[in-house]
Amino acid sequence: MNRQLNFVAYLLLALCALPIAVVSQSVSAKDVVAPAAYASFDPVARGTAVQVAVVMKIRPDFHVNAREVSAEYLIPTDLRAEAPTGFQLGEVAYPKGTLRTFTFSKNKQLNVYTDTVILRLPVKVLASAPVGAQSLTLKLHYQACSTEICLPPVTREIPTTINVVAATSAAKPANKEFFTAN
Amino acid sequence: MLSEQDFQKKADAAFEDLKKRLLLLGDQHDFDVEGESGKLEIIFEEPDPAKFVISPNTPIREIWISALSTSFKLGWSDARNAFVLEKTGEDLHTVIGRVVSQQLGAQVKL
Repeated sequence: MNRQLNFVAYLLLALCALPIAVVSQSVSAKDVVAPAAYASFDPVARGTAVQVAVVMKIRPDFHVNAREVSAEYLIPTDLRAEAPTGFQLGEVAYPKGTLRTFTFSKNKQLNVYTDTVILRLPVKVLASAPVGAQSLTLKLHYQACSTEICLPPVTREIPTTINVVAATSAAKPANKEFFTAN
Repeated sequence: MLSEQDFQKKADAAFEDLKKRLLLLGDQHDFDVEGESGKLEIIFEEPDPAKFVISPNTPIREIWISALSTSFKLGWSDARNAFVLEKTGEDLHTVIGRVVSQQLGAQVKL
């Protein structure tokens, strides 16, 4: 009898866990966020500064932990950059998150990013920077969650190229939609 | 939107084909083609030193080209079965052929 009850209990547990398991197996954090990087000038002149906007488009019904997390166990959004010789990287500016409550947070408000958020990286193009297409390596680390579960954190490499020209007169502002005040 | 796997498959095939064609063209017109960590670079010494970078941007399912101080962004077209520059309707080979021709000062076709 006990064995039968145990079996039924296991079966019920397995059935309850199924939707979460299916969601976690079918959705990867990579599918939840589409990040892309855009420069504020294309091309940019030597001896000037440019901003790189990392645009995170987050899937509806999901969120990403903000830079400032509201609980120790949450993994914050983190952007790291490496640049070739001739470039100087500044501090990444992260947007403020919004406070939201979720089923799993048990009434505790969590600081999160939703929809589309833009991180900004200032880059100085030194007078010694080589002219032409120069690649920057950007690595975005984040943890995505739905209202019920959190997915394992991921690090994604974002391809970024800055076109450098010698003459200031040849520089052109670009991707204005990502560089207006927000 | 293509799935990530689909995009990677199509981008890998497009890059492999493009690399083969560029290597042949590079031998004829004296430029180098290098491919590492998923991207292709075309390096010119003559008539002016320059570097073009072609890289897949997987999260947004586009192929980005940096050439002639300009960025070109190509998305997948089911109708054309190719990566296409929306603004002009040119496919990957046409865009690369155009910018390489402009750089070399001689008409080339991929």
